[in-house]
Amino acid sequence: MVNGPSDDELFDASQAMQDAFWAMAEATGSEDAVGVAVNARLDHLNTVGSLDPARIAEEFDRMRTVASRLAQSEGARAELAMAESRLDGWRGDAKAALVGKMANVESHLDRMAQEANHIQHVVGTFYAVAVYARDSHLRLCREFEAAALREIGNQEKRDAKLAVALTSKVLGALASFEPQQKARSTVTAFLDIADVTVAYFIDGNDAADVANNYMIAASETTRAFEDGLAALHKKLLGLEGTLSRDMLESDVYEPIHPDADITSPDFEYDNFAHGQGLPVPGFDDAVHRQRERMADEREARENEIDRRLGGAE
Amino acid sequence: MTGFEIDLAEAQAAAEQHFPAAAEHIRAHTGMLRAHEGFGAGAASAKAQAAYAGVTYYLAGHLDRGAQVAEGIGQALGDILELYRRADGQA
Repeated sequence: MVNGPSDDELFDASQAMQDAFWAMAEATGSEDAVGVAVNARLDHLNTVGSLDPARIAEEFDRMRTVASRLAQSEGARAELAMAESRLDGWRGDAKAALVGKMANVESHLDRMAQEANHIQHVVGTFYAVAVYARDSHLRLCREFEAAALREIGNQEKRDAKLAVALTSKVLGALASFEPQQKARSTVTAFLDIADVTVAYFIDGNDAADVANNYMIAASETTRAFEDGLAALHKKLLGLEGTLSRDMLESDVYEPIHPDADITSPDFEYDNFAHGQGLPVPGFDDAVHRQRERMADEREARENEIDRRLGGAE
Repeated sequence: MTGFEIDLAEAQAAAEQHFPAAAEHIRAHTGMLRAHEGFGAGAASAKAQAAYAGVTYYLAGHLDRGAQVAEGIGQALGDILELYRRADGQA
């Protein structure tokens, strides 16, 4: 069932069912009931086909890569660790401020990895919803095509019901998720869930029953699919709320502490070198002069950038 | 070692190499997050897809912030080293 039926397979099955339904209507004189079903079938097809499992699978892989790399010790975390190791021997408030900020970045990466895990799970759920909906609709079209042909041929009716996936059951099966613990590593793992089907009648006493049974099964499963999309939409809005508001309270949005920011008016030389034999008398004045000079140079650079940008307009 | 109990060359490497490299690693993710093309073409899923785009946009933005901070730490460290080199007559 990987990726489910293609658009072409769904279209062909729906078209074949329509042809069989019209033939059934012609043979049995039940145009009204069949007409309702045939008129609705394109809506059903377009709705369940609105998600593309292959594209969702690609997105899942991207998000999985981001989530796993953010959690790994390689990459950014390794660079931060190497940076800190190169500051061995330096003591003082300025170092503490910089190391504290590095810890903020690492915590930020932890949180982002967790959020990426949540998002990855939503994408995997989208995938399962899309595949189950497509697979169910394909089987539904084929079963009702066969039922129409049986009706035309006055063949023996089948008592068996058609079991098709209901999106609400798919969502229920995939709802519980603990990041880090139950992360599903591949998107197809999201298809590995308990029975999520409901059963619908196919055959009936006559052609109108077949058409009506199609309408019941297709309408309910399509509506459940739309409701499922609405639920996933709501879930995403919740994640967006977390990311757009709550995350702004993260320490990573706090400025670098004045102890480590020479541009801050509160920066003090003593915070840089703590408790070590501080330099010769007059060194503080030298530091102060150089800070002023560096501030002037910075301002001159920024003015030059502004001038160039202004000139480029 | 200087009077500040810091190896300036080592610290300079941290400022100029490791913090910018950390930022680059973080930014590599933002490109991936912004590369998605949606989940399909149907109108039925348009709202959910728009919300997904919003989520990835914010996630990428927060990662950008992380990268900026990593760069900012390197800049702050570099500024401190520059200041003390100048004050100490080494620059």
